[in-house]
Amino acid sequence: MRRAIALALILATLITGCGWFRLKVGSPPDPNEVERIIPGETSRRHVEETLGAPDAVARLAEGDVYLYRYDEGKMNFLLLLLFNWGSLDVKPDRLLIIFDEAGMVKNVAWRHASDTAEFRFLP
Amino acid sequence: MTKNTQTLFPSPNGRGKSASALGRGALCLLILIMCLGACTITQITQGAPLVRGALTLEPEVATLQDALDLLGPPDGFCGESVFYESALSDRLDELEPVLPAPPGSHPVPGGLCMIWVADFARDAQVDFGRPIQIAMRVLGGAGYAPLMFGTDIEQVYFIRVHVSEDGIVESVHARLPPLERGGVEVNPF
Repeated sequence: MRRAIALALILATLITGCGWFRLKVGSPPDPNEVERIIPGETSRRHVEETLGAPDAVARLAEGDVYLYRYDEGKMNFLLLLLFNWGSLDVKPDRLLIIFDEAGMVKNVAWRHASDTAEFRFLP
Repeated sequence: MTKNTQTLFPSPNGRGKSASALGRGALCLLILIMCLGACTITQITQGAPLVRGALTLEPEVATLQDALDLLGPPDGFCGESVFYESALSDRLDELEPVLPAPPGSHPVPGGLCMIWVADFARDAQVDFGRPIQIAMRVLGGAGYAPLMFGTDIEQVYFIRVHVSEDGIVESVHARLPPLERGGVEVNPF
């Protein structure tokens, strides 16, 4: 009986498994710093000093556009031999800043969703 | 002289025989499970949900600020590699203009082209004959199970807005297919 139980436990260890992973891509913009960016008052230099270089730059006739990106993902999987389940959920942070010709912030668009990524344990 | 099988295989209380039978039963069950196969479900969600309000952006009328107020900041600019745009590279031709540009107008060179991206994929598969599948992989084959069936759903949500140099929306292209479950539209994000 003990051997049968030991065999069952060994098999259960070898044929099943689970794992959790966390994925982070990029540098997250600090929400407190983003809130301090005020159109008409904040300069491009201040943005670059507090947030660093942008991930992408575009040009409009009246000024430049900076885009900051950050993605956070959570992945988990469960292996039970007969039933296996895996899930990946990736949520983004995006910050778009539009400058005018004088290099002052004209518009700001901010989306903070990276902290809503979830581990999903059921289909 | 008769043989007494019980003295040849001493088992004071029968435990040895039942343990052996239990082990054989477990082994048989394991083999049966391996032959029967397994069910595997995987689900991937990437990005923030894209609102259908993009359909209300009117070319030559809506502004860049209107687009940002409605959709939030984009995931990237056209022509660059967005984080999970690799799944979309072969799908750009499938984009259908939602709001065609007015007659006589044409995309203004330059300006700002922004894209918003989200992706949902769900795969459910049942495989039978795992030992054969493993053997085929070991031998360098494709490694498909002898019998398998399943469903695969992948929805790519894509919005592209082209804004002229003076901040006016020039065109809107969107791919926002509905995802239904049991006849009811669901939001997988």
